[in-house]
Amino acid sequence: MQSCTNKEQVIADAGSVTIHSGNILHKILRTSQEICQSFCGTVKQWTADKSEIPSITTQCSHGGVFINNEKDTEWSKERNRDDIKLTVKLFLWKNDAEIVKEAVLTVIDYYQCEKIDLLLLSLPPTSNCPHNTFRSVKYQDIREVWIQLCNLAADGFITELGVCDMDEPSLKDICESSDVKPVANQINLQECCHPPKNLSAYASEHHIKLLTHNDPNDVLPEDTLQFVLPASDKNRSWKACFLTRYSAVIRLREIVMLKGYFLCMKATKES
Amino acid sequence: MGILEYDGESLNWNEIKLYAKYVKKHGIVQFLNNYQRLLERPVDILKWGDEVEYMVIRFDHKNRKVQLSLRGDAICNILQEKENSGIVNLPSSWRHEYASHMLEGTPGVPYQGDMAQFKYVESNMEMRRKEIQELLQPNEQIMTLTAFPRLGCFNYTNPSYKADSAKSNQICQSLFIPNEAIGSHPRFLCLERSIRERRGERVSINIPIFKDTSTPSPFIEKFNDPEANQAAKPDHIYMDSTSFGFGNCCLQITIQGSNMDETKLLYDQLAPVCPIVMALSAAAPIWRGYLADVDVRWPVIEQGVDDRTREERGLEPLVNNERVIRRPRFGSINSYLHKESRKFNDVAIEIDLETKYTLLDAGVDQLLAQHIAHLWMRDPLTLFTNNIEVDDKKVTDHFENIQTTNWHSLRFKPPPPGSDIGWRVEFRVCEVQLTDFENAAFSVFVVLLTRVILTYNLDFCIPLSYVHTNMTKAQKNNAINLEKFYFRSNIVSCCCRNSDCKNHIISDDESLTEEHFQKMSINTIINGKKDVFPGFILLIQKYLGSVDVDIDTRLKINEYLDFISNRASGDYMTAAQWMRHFVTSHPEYKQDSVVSDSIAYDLLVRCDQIQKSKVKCYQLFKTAA
Repeated sequence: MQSCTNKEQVIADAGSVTIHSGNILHKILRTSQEICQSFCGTVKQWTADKSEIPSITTQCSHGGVFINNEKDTEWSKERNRDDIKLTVKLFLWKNDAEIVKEAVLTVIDYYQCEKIDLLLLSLPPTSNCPHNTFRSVKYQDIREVWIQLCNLAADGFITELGVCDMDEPSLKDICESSDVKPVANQINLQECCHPPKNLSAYASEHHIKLLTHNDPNDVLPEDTLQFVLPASDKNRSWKACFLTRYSAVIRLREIVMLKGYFLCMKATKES
Repeated sequence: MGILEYDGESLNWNEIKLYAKYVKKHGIVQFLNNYQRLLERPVDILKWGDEVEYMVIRFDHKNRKVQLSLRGDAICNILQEKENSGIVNLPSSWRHEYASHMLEGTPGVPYQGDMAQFKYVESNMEMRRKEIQELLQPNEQIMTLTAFPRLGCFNYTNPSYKADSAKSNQICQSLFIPNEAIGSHPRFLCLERSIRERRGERVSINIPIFKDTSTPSPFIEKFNDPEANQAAKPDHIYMDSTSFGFGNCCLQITIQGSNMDETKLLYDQLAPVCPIVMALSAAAPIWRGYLADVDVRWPVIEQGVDDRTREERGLEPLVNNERVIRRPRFGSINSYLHKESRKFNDVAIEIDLETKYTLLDAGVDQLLAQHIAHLWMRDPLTLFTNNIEVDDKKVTDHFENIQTTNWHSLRFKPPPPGSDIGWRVEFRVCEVQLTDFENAAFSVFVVLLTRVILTYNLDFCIPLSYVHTNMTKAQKNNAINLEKFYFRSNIVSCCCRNSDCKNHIISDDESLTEEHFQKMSINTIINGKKDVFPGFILLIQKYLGSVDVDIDTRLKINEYLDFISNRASGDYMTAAQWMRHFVTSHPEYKQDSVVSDSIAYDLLVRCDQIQKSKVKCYQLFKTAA
C-alpha cells in the first residue's frame, strides 16, 4: 500500500496510468464535450481523496496506476448477464495487439462481467486523409490487431466484433481475408447524410449492420489530454495508448444502464 | 374504444342504474382477483403500439361538396374477417369506432423493445391505409383527419339522414346528428343514450367561435328548439351530441412498463408531457362549419360525454344525487400514481370511499387505491343482459366497464387475465395528423421520450393543478406559438429514484419554487434554451448516442425529431393553424368564421392530396423523400 499523501507522486513516478471516468450518464447531459467532461476533475478527485490506493490488481497487470473514484457499481443489480448488452468502442493510437488485449480485459475485469457483447474497433486516423471520416485500410496493416480480437473472441471474452469508419474496399478486404467477419461497421452520421451506395450494398449483402457514431476523427486532442492529466514535469509527457467507451443497455427495454470511459496513457520521456 | 364483446340486450339508463352498485362492486372484486397474481409477475420487456383512427369521406366533385361516408362500420367488418377467422400474427388489427364513418387500426402485433423496430412504424401505418383504400367506393377517400369540418351541418352524411331531436328519439336526440351516424355496435348506441338519460338533458357543448372582422358580434344562433336556445352560449359554437366528440379521430400510444412500479412512474412522467404534445399536434380548428377559437378536439369531447346531472354540476340543490362533482368523466388525469410524486397531488378529487377502503384492506397502496376510488365514483353507462353475472375470477368485464368509461389524458392499465400482456400506460391526447409520416413521428417521439426518462431518471412532475392549467392553455388557438406552459426546469433530480437519497433536489416537505419550475414556450421545452432547459430533442439525441442504432433507423428517427423540432420552433405549422390559414385565405371566405361546403370541399381535396403525397405542403413538413 502506498501512502495517500503521495498520490501526485505516484502518478509522477508511474510508467502508465489508466483512468476510469465512472458512470457518466448524468454527468454529460448538459454538455457536448463528452469525453472532456467525462474525465473532468476525475484525477483531481482521486488525488484529493484521502483513502488508500488499493494494491495492484489485474487491471494494472502492465504495471500502471489505476485512477478510479467509483465506490460501487450499478452493474448486475439483480439482473441476468443475458439481459444486458455491453458494447465497447476501442480507440487505438497504434496498431498494437498487446494494447488491444489490455483494453478489453480492463473493462471485463473492472465490471466482472465475463465478456463484451459487441466490440467496435476504431483505428488511428490515416495521415493522408485527416478530414475524411472513412478509413481506407488494408487488412495486412491491421492483421495482428484483428487476430488478437479474434483470439479474445474465441476465448469467450468478446461475442461479436465490429469495425468503425471502414469504406467499402476496406470492409471487403477484412471480410475476404479473415475467417471472422465483422458484424457491424460504425460510421459517422454527421459527415454523411446517407451512407455511400456501395457500402450500403456490400453491408446489406453480407449482413453487416451499419451503426452510427458522432465521434470526431481526433477523439482525444492534445489540449483535452492535458486537461485530463497535466504533465508533471517538462521531461515527461503522456501519450494516449487506448481509449475505450463502454455502454451497457438493458436488452429489449433499451434503457441505458451505464456509460463511461477508460483512458490509458503511457509516460514518455521527452528528449 | 372500450370493450366491444357483448352478450344479450343492451339496457337503458334506468335499468343500468339498478345495477350500478353491483357492477362497481364486482369490478373491484375482479381487479383484486387479478392484482395478487400480478404483483408476482416477472419483469416485462418494452412492447408498444399505436392506434390510429380513420374517417371515410365522400367527395361530390360535380357539386363541390364533401360528406362523411357512413360505411366505416361496413368496411371494418370486412377488414376484421381475417382476425375473426382465427388467423394470428396479422400485420394489422381493426376495431369499430363510435361513429359509423370511423374505424380504428393498430399494428397486428405490438412493436418490441428493439431500436430497429422504429423504422417499421410508418410503413405499417401506410399498409393499413392501403388496406382500407382497397375497400373504398369511387369518390370515397380515407383520411386521418381529427375533426370533419362540416360535422353536424346540413346533409353532412352520405347516405343522407335527418337528425331527430324529438324526445321520442331513443338514440340520438340531436338537432344536427342523425341516429345513423352512430356506429351500429350496441355499446355506442348505449353510450349516446345513457349519457343523455343520466344527465337528464342533452349534452351541451359550447366552443368559443373565432371572431373575425365580419363575424356577428355577439354571435348567436337561433334554433327551433327551446332547450338548445337555452343551452347555446353567445359567441360560441353550440353542439348537442356525444357524437360531436367521439366522432373525432385521434392517435393513441400504449406502452408496456417492465412492472407496475415502472408503469406508474411513466404514467406520472407523461402527465406533464400531455399538454405539450396536445399543442404540438393540434389539428381541429373547425367545428360544425365554423372556425373556432380552439385548435383541438379536447374540449368538445370533454363537454360531450358529461353525464353529470344538474345537481352534480352544482346548478340545483342536491336532492337525488349525493354530491357535486367538479369535473366530467373526460379530461386530464387527476392524481399521480407513483409515491415519488405524491407531494404534487394538489387537485381535490371526489372518491368512492367504500371502494377505497376495500382496496386498502386488500393491500393496495394508498395512491392506487385513491386513483381507482376516484374512477369508481362514476356510474356504468353500458350493460348487457347476459353480461351481468360473470365469473369474477375469470373475466374483468365489470372492472373494464368503469375503467374504460373514465376517459383521461392517460390510462393506467393492469394486465388482463388469461394473457401475456403486462402493465401499460396509454397516452391519449395526441390529435391524429394528416399523414402517416407525422403520426409515426409523434408515436416514435413519445416512446423514445419514455426511454430517455428511464435512462436518465428524469423528473418532469409539477403540481397537478399546473398540469391542468397547461391542458387548458394547450387547447387555445395557436397555443403552440403564443402560450407559455409551466414546466419543471430541474429535471435531472438525481442519479437514483431512492427518496432517502440526500442528493434529491426537492424533498417531501419542501414546496416547489420558481427555481424548480417556470413558464416556458413549447420551443424551449422541445428545442431547449441555454441555461433554462435542455430540451426534449437534445435529451433524445444524447440517448441515441448511447445505444446501438442501425443507420436506417437512425436516419428515420432524425427525420421525426427534425419534424417535431420544426413544429415547436414555428417553422412548420400545426395542422390546425394550416387549416385556419387555408380557410381565411380562401377566395370564398367572407371573414365571418363560416366554413361553407365549398370551402370545406377545397380544404379536404387539398388534405387528400397531401396525405397521398401528390402535393407537398412545406408549411406542414418537409421530408427527405
